[in-house]
Amino acid sequence: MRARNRFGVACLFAGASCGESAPTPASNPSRAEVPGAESAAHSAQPARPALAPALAVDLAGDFAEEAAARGLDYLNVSGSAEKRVILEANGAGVAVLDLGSDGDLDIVFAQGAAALDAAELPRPEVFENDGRGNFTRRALGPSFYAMWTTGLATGDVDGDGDDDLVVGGLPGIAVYLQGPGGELTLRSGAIPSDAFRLTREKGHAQSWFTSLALFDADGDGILDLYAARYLDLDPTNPPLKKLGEGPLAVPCTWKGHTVFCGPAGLVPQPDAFFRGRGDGSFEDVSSTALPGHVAGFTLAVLPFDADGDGDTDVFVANDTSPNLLLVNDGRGIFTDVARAAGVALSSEGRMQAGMGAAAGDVNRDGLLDFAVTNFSDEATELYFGGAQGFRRMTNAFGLMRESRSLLSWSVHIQDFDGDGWLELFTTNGHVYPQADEPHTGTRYGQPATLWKLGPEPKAVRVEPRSASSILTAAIGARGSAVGDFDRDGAPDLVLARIDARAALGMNRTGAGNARIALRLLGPELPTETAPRTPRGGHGAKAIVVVGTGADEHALLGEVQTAAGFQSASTPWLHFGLGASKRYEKLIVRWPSGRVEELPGGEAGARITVCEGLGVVAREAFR
Amino acid sequence: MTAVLFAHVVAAIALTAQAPAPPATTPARVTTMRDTTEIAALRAAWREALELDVPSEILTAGAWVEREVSVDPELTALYARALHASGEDERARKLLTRGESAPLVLAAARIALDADEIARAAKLLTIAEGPTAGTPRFPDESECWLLLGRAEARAGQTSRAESNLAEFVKRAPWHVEAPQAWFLLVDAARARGDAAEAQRRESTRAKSAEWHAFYRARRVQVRASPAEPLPRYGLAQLWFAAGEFTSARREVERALELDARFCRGLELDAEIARRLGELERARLGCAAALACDAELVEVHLTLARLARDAGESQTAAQHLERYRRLGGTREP
Repeated sequence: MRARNRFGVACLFAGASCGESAPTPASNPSRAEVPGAESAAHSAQPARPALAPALAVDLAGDFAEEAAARGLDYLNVSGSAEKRVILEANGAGVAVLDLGSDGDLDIVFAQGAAALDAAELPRPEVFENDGRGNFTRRALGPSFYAMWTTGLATGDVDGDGDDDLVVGGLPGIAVYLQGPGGELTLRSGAIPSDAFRLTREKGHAQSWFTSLALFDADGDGILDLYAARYLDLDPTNPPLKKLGEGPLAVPCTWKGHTVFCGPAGLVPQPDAFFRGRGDGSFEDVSSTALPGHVAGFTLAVLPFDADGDGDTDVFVANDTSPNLLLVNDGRGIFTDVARAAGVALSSEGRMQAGMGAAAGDVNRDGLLDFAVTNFSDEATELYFGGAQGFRRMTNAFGLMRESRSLLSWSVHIQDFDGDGWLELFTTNGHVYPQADEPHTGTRYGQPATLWKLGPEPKAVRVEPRSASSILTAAIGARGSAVGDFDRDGAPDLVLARIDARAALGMNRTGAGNARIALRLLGPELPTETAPRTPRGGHGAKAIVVVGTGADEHALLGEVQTAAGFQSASTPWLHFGLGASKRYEKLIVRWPSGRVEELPGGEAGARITVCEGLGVVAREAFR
Repeated sequence: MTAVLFAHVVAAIALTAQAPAPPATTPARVTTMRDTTEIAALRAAWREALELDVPSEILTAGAWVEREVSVDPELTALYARALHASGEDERARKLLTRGESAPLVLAAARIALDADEIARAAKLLTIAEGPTAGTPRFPDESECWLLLGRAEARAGQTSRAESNLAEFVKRAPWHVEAPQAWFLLVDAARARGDAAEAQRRESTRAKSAEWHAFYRARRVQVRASPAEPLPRYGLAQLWFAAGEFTSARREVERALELDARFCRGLELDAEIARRLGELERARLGCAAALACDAELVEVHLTLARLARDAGESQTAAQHLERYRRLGGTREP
């Protein structure tokens, strides 16, 4: 991270600005003017500062673990090693965001405490990027709220053109607005405090937020907040070893071992939905936005356009309770259609332990597909978008066999190697240390996993190529986020390992493949009529046409930062072009309804597109 | 989930009865020569261990299965499934090559399904050639219908899956995997546009799933408190609510073995006897229950019903009045 004005950069988002008034869809219904896209973009580039020399890295590694070498010294704390209480097992999320609006992705980690009754509660931990993927810990301002933090969300909640941060945990949510110098300051009163129980009082459960998702639900161009909650937990008196008393007490066991209690047998908390006001504060509209909401043990929230109608729907991954697929009516009122869509339960009606979720167009049919991670003895599910609902592709891709021994958390569907086909990445690690006992079929510490999902319709495990790969170490991780930290065009991975140091996997895969990265931005000044595109571009879709003739194909991406588990990834869309050195066409479907078709260009660049203005910045990968 | 389940009253399920074999204690030592009773007890115990996801019990007690050559095929299959549940797939597959009997083949098909080898599973489960090619290879084994239906459903052969799964739930309505079969049957009805049938099946699925969730929870409680009669009584109530009076009696008798003065057990035992037409035993049971606890309520309903069925209307009315005074609300 660099301070915004340090290099004399007046405009936002890496030198690109959407400051000019965007023409309305009515005035330019089908095609946007591209004001000298290539040349104008180059002229908009900020001057580069002198950077630290590049680190010597292991080029043989596919995702070389470089956290320590790059200054990322986050150490997760998540209660006792024995994991006596369920809160201790769920670990932390991680978020990437641009502090200082210098185009570099900085990193924030959630953090737990040494014990539930710890006198000193933690704060999130922030690391600033120098632009080449080297990080420095940032001291936090006094306004940072201390609590056992879990989930993080990023987005421009006050419409000032920079990324803000929302932090959830036990017992609440805090909103931090980014100031002109990149500093994060608590937005007091941002969330109605009656939405949850803050005070710690024996006999009362506190609110336990897990994943958070910022997206625009009602098309007003302002980000709203879906806040997932898990279960009732009284931190002063958590259930231990058994539920209930007397002869009908149910011991908390797993495969014959005594383990922490829950979620089964405990009380799920309902999720909450907050409508953004545009000034960084939110209004609780749960009762109207989520009519008939049935509380589950929610761990993950995935906003994406599930039904292809242009607004943002939400998949909710629930632990030991049916998942939800909340279809948006365009006004921010959601109806659960998960059962009819075939994504509520396992293929045979079993409630699964939904942990994380991610979307992407795996089969390149122009419809978003998604994956859901689950418990050990369950599969990571893969669903393909169809004309009606979703088709379960888990068995066809061999994912039952591949993932059955894993307990997976965060997940990303991303083209990491740039060949134009997507990969499936999951963080893994069991919740029970007792998994290391004999006959469990699994292990406590589990390495992260990566599978290729194409071109053959089969999940092919990518084996780590070096001991230093993040795919090698059998250390459990929970949250993870995608972001190109060194601006080389290849999306990297940051992992929040549990009770361990963070991992930073620098992507060295697909060296011969061409790539582009797209940043889609809404207008700086909101249009008069809704629907509007949020300034940070949430909900915008890019269709990149690659190749010609028989080789022509289209790649789809949607701007959303909430994905995985308790984490937030980059808003940049990364596309692999394979052997093609250019893309032929770029079509952007904006949440406002505008569709823009832009001419092709050379690969190897970060490209910023503003609604109504076309390409406003283009910067070669480093 | 358990807390939610306990908040509900068990609903009767109008399904045909087929009681599972009773759980049995795993012997501390297993000799090479096992009699029929011992094998039956082991089968039941290992089946329950798998159903409750405690494969270590089987692997700890049954290490001899891998050493010995001539082992009961079902025990071999259960042991192989425990190996599979413990991540020891190669050992499991090797064990299952010992023969072509139904238990071994069915276990192999299960493992194939878990490995996404759908075609292989279907091949194992069907007759390969002749006029009956493609039909279940072991039609007398209910699980063959289930697993074949499962394989076909995963392969997208909804119609064939539906017919095999329907046969499975007809043959084994109390099978632990019946709710999963009903779920697939719901989907199959939906897929062919029969919403009414889908709704009917969904209702059965929900009841079946709820019953099995209770059944599992009660067995966990029995294991946690083996000397307590109350969890056994809970199991008896489950079977009673399902109309499975013989199974209900089995559990009540076990509860009473643990505590002969378990009054609610005596009360339920009397009503079970009435339902089974053993009227004298029912009357004696009512007397024993009231002698145990004069404040029992339901026993008066049993007495009212016994008197009614014997044509003693005045006596029936007296018992019913007493039942109502004590707070009973059900109709005789």
